[in-house]
Amino acid sequence: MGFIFRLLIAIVVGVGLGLGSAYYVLVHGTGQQGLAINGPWRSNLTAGGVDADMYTRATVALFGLLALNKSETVYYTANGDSAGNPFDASCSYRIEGRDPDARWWSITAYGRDSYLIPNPQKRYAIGKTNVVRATDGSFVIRLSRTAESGNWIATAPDGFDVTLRLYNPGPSVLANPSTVALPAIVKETCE
Amino acid sequence: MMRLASWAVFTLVLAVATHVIAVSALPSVIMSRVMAAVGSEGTGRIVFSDRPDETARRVVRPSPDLLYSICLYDVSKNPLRITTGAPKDTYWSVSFFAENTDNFFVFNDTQAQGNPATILLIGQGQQIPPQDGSMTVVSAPTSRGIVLFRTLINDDARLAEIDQQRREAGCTVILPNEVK
Repeated sequence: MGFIFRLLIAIVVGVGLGLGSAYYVLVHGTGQQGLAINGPWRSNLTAGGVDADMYTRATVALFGLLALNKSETVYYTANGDSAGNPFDASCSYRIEGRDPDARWWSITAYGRDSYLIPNPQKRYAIGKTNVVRATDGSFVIRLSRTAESGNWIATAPDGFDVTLRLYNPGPSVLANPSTVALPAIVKETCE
Repeated sequence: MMRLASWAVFTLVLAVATHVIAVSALPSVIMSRVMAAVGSEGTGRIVFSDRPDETARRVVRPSPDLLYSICLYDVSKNPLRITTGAPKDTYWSVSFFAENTDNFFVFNDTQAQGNPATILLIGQGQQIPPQDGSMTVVSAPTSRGIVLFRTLINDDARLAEIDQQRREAGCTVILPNEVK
């Protein structure tokens, strides 16, 4: 009886530890090889590739299934601003910079479920061909829950993140994914 | 004391094994669920999705600037012929994903140089059907998987035109009597 009891305890604890550690590693992105951190943006250039490790494969399956390999598209995701603080759903932010080195790019906001955020204006993303630029070529995109004029993407009241897609990225992105120039994300006002 | 250490080692080994199995199996499990969601309508034939909005669930983290078209492949018995179409003046690609989520092949508009392309997807050790040399032959690492077409809407005013052009793409199972 004592042996069976101890065995059951060991199985429950062992399986629990195994599943719990797997969940932690996948959700927090630790354990992935080839992770590039560039300001608020994080990317894994092995995503989608046949050389991806098991953690990258599992993370991509959870948060970006059917991602393309790096020669076709590089995906950067931000969960917070350039000051290192996580996004606060009650705050508005601005994304400012210049065109990244890619044939085409877009910035899209996603809800906590990794799907597009409902909003009456259907403003889910801004891309290279529809962003409004200043005369010097720079742009400012606003992220907020309430609609704004110009470059604006809707956020969600219960949390969000943003993905920067670089289609057919330039050689500087592939060579220096952690230092190549990408837009900054700055917190503005909070409700 | 010795018995306690043995139980601790057993628990630790079980935890590590569970961790590795869970992480390794997750991509195939999720891929199977996506393939089941696409359903039998998408096996060997192409399904054209509408422009993604907040209701889109077929692709995780969809891009609202892309039109997605999808077909499931099962090359365990017969090869699959994929034709790309050739949407004009915009980015498009067709990408092939194995059952473990690996993107093992991709072909885009730059490579196509403005022309439609034909890709023959074959299973491991499968006989290649007769061809005229214009086809690209790709060997699938797993017998089942997903072929995903992406077409960029680079101008909202061109949506209808781009949507029409991407519908020239197709997936067709090559039947045994087409193989010599």
